[in-house]
Amino acid sequence: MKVIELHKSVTASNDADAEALRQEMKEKGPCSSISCLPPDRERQRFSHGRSEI
Amino acid sequence: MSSPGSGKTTLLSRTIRDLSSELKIAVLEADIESAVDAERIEALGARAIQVHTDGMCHMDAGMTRTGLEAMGLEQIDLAFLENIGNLICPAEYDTGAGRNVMILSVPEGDDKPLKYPLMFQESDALVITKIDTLEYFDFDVELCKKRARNLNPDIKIFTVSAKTGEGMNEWETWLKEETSAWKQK
Repeated sequence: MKVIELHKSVTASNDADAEALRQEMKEKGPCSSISCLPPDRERQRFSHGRSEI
Repeated sequence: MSSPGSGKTTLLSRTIRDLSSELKIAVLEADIESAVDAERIEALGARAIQVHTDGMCHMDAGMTRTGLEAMGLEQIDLAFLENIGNLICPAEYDTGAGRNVMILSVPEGDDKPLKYPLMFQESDALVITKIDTLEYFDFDVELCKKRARNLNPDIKIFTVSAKTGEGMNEWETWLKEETSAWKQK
């Protein structure tokens, strides 16, 4: 099972980012729009997130 | 999107079982802790990944992108994002999803559109789950529908029981139609 740990130390996306992601998925197809990483890493850590409500 | 315990993972599990011969489905599971939901999905043979949000009560587009990149979407027809379970934060952040679906279970009560209007306003579809328990609760389905449509006249509403299968065909037909329409755009 791959588990991704997100972190709230970095300010994350806004509504423009959301629309951009939606457009990418719509126009290019899901796989070609982002880097389709091979599912071979069991655990990855990313610095990402925004303030907790 | 839904509150905890509304049956998100159970509905997804039933949907994956029913549609596995027609659509390749992946699920991005977001939780504060644990991987129990993703493990349930993976046990069905679907691609699943667990995202932990470091205590945050929502997902947003950047977090969704990170999860999608890690999961990979090659040969996937339909990807679900199961958001953190609550009726407030998830409605306030745009995840970049093509469609937003809210789940409301019968035991939660038919007054939720009055208490959490933004969730209903932001959703393209409302799935009322656990309708097999209607005889045990004072849940007025028509009143709930009316309240939801007062907030969002265009919202699609389905009443289902993932346990008995009642109403699943209508929900799954809508999913297939929306998936097909998305691909053709």
